[in-house]
Amino acid sequence: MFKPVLPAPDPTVTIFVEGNALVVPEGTSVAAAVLRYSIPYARTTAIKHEQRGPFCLMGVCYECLMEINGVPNQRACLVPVKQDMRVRRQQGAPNFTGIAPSGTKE
Amino acid sequence: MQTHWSLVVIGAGPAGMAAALEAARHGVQPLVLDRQPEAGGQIFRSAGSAQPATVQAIGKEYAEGASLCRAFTNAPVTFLAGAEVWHIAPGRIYFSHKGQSHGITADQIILATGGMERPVPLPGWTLPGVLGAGATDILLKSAGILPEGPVVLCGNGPLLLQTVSHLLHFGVRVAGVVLTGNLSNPIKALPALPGALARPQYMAHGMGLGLNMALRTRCYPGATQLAIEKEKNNLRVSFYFAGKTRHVEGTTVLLHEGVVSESRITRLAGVRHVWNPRQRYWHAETDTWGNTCVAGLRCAGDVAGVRGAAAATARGTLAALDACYTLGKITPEQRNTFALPEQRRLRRCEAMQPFMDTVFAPRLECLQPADSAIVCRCEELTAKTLREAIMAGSYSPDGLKSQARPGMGTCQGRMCAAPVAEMIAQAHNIPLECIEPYRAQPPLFPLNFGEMASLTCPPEGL
Repeated sequence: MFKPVLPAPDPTVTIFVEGNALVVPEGTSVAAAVLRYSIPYARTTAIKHEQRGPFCLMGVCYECLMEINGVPNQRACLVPVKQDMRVRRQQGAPNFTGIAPSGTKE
Repeated sequence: MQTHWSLVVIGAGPAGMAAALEAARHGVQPLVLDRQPEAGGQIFRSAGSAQPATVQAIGKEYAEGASLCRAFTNAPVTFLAGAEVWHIAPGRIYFSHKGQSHGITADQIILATGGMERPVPLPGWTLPGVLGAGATDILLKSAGILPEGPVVLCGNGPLLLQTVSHLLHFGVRVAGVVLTGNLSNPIKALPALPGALARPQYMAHGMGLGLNMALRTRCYPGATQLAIEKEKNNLRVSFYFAGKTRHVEGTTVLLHEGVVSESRITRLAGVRHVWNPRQRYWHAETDTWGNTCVAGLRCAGDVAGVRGAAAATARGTLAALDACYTLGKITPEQRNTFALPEQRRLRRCEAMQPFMDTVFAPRLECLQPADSAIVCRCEELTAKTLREAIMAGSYSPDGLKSQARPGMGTCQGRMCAAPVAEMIAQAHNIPLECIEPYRAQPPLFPLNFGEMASLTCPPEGL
């Protein structure tokens, strides 16, 4: 859905979205990676399970909520990619079971 | 973490960076907080780390932003990126940073949290592939990506012209530009034209963008009744134009209906607000130094009325000068002298604003969502459902919230506050400015209880 139009900065990292390895420039957001690799949606909604994708890209709309390294409800547009990051699309209402107060999976 | 600061700046966009730099110049080392992973705000997003070729490709204003970002990075300023403020009270700020919350106190606070694109619900605006026009600008600057195209753009506002120009520059096919502004806007704006001539270069640049769009894309000015549907792999925008219903298809649809102040944080802070009748939004009320009715709290940049980046840097500098004077770092004479060039710059921007606000005034018809449009994206409530609750006797957004749940989801009403107020105003024939927006309450964004409970300082006065 999106294509690179400017030279990407040199260092890249590999992240795993739904188990698929994606190579993305360091410093870009998870949401940008999702759009760049045409992943059709970022989450499904809590009530009607409709597909949603990133909308505002600035942390306001909460449409890009994804599960990042085991923690649900993360705004993918605010999270910079890190090597070996595990990202999953959030399906329906988030499940917070086993999440420690600091926001890391126990 | 130092728990007391003489100056805290919230937001590291043009206003916040300029404020921090000016304060540092006069011996005040401020703490600067920003939700994003790097300084720049949205307009100068990633400008400090962008490669020269990127800066050049995006434009002159962005190049100035790059210098500002670099100066900010090198200044004696404590900058916490990825720090999001969730509560603010006089002299007190609570924020979350890397999964840990902190409470700090401050003698002086400058709020420079900016604006956001006005959310205008229409059928299909929740489909993946439909984004804000500002979002593509952010993606271009921060990740160097743009939609593959074809792209359909819908809406009204200077940022829409800028986005079209970027798409064309990078060879993205634009299938059509569906313009929703009133065709009579330019005529209504004529009396304000002399003011606009205070910034001839800016005006010439804007006219150039408009001409470029008119010559190189298919435009549909004065379109109404917009709706988006998924059509196989494409998104199909239908609208009413020149007497009949038309369709334009693309793989990405970009929406834009102007930029408005994001007033949740200022309302939580207890600041008095003023109404912008042309652009129909509330913003913090300030004097020329950014002072609000709350002692020690100043607002700078688009959070105190949208005027753009040039005005934001001027307002940030002025607010910092006044804060430094209050902190006893400079004399009133020094403050006034340093302020002169900034005040001149600000006057030019402000002279132009009535013209901009009128030329790009939103069309009232567009602000009333069609029945099938999802208005509250989080709770998935359509305009029809909400209108029924409004007619059953909801006269305020908070009343409607308890009746039908709009604004109860994760975005906390950021996306539906404006349309909900517009719908209530229309249904009960109440002037929009008489409708109190959703009450802003802490935490300003969803926060887990564990984090709130493990605050590093006692939450006194919370």
